[in-house]
Amino acid sequence: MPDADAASLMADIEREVRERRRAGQIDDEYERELDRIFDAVAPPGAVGSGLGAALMRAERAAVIDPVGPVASRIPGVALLRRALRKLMAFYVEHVVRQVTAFGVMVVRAMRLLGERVDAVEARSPVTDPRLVNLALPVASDFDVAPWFDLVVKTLAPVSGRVLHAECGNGALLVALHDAGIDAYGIDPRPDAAAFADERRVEVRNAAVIDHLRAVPAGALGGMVVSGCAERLATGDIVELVDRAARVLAPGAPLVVLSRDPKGDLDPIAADLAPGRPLHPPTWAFLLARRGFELIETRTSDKRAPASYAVAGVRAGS
Amino acid sequence: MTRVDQLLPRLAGRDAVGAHTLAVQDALRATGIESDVFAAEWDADVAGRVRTFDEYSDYSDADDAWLMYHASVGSHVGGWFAERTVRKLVDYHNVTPHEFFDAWAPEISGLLVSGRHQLEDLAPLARAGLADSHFNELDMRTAGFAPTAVVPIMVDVRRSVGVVDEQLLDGLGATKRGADWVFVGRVAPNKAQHELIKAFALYRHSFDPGARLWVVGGESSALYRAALDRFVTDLDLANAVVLTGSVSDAELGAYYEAADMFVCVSRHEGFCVPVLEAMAHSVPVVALASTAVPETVGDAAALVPENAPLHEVAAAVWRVASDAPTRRALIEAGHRRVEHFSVERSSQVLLDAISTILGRNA
Repeated sequence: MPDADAASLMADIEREVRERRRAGQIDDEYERELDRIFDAVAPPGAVGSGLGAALMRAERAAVIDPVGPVASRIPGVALLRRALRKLMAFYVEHVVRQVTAFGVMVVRAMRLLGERVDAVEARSPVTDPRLVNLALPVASDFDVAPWFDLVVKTLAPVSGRVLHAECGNGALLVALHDAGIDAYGIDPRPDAAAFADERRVEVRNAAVIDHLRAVPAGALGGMVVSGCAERLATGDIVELVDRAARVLAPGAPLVVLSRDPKGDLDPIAADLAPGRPLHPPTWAFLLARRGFELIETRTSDKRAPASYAVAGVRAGS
Repeated sequence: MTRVDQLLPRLAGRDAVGAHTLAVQDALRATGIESDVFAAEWDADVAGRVRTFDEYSDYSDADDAWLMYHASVGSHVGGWFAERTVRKLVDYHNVTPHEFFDAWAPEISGLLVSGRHQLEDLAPLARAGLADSHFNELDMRTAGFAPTAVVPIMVDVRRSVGVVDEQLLDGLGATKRGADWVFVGRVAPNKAQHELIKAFALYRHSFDPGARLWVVGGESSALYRAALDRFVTDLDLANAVVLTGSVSDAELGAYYEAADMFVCVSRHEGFCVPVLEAMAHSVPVVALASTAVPETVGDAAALVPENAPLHEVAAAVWRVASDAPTRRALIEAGHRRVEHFSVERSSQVLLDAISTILGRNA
């Protein structure tokens, strides 16, 4: 099978999966159910991350059992091992007591450190878990429909998959699919999955930067950023642009859609999100700094709230 | 006379690094280069081909002597190697990122961390580095090795073709109700057997309720294995998914013979010998394009993008199972791929690399 055939086989399979999804034959809820079932049997820390879970395991591991197993299938060996264990017990237990004390104290110190980190995190809206866990509902996203034509026109000529982050209610994904563009979305909010299932579009439950970390370099044919564009903290936005530049193929477009901070902002997002919408020139600056070319800005105040699009093309085409 | 001896922590004839070490010895000796294998431990079946590493000092002062260390997880043998004055080569077989094991087997994580540090420590001491794949070569360069060369791992994947446990094969055939998947490799978090089981469950759910999955291989983490067992039970798939544990060559032959496809969703591989083994057994391969897997399978597998949803793995398997021309094309391409990585061809690559290194250091 020559290279071209292997590539066309996979392109064919990907097309088939898209068609099955549009026909409602892909059961994403079942895949999420599989994830939940495995997560339930995995040990603390295996899925996701958690300092508390890791410390609990460290604490257990810190308590060393000085009584080694002596069983053996070879005649006489068990007896010999038992005798050795008894002879060595005074020495082994002495060492084990010290090592266990050291381990327990290290874990205790880590716990104290963890408490101080928690206190520091709680003083920043970007890291405060009480705010981080307060996912803004998809319904609070601004309406990107006025930008459909521009986005479709920009992405129509691309080859390769297009990512929409965060895709919210999936309306833009439907418009992209209708235009024959192979697009998928990501959104970390739990209610986005229900919208995706209803609209029969492919949506993964993930945060944008986490997802981009896992995408191979040059793997995407295009990318649209909305929603998170106005909620992320400034440092995260810089990282988002860096990672987008890595995962986009040369010549691939990036389109950022956002509310204009000069217009009326959504009061809930404005009060609770760690970040604020950027002004259009700031996005243009970040894209240019990361090597994007042909950067264009369009603003629209036809519909409230006022919004804008900044588009650039990954250098190297 | 030039001698290139080899050193590794443990020599096991049945594992890939062990088989590679013995093939390297054969290739070197065939061209007149003296080569002995030294190890700290070994399996009984290779006892005649290995000496304890303490005996190596006999050669360490010779002008024309080289010592090649097979690096993977951390070992005291690596530390011992670093202290020798002989000219050094490192043949790198990959270290799995420890994050895969942190929650499942912290004791293995420690070995992996130490293996990574050991690789970095050896970089300035070695005259050159060899790597199984370009993926591994990148690791070596990042660690500071220069120059480096890629020499594919030398394992005769055709050796067990035709070696079949007939009773097991008959049993598997008699109970067949749909497509049979096989994956071969240690039960380890980086091999992502849990993702494989998810992909398999999706496949049964969408395409083929009679499908079965055989997960063949011994375990690296008892906790991970136990979680897989519970996962299979909770999914009510105990009648469809079998975790076989370690098997004999004949049993392995039976699983390959009975399988309709080899499915690999491993998240980290330095080479991935089992995909070639499957191809040698005329089993078509569906694999995730992760780490070194794409360069090993070349154009001879249905290669699903690494970030694709598992539905796509299931769809790819369905295509291979249900479309005879695709299946045939993959099997034929697989045979060509096996030839590409034949021990004979890779021996020549090795000898060219060694000759360049020796010439450069003459």
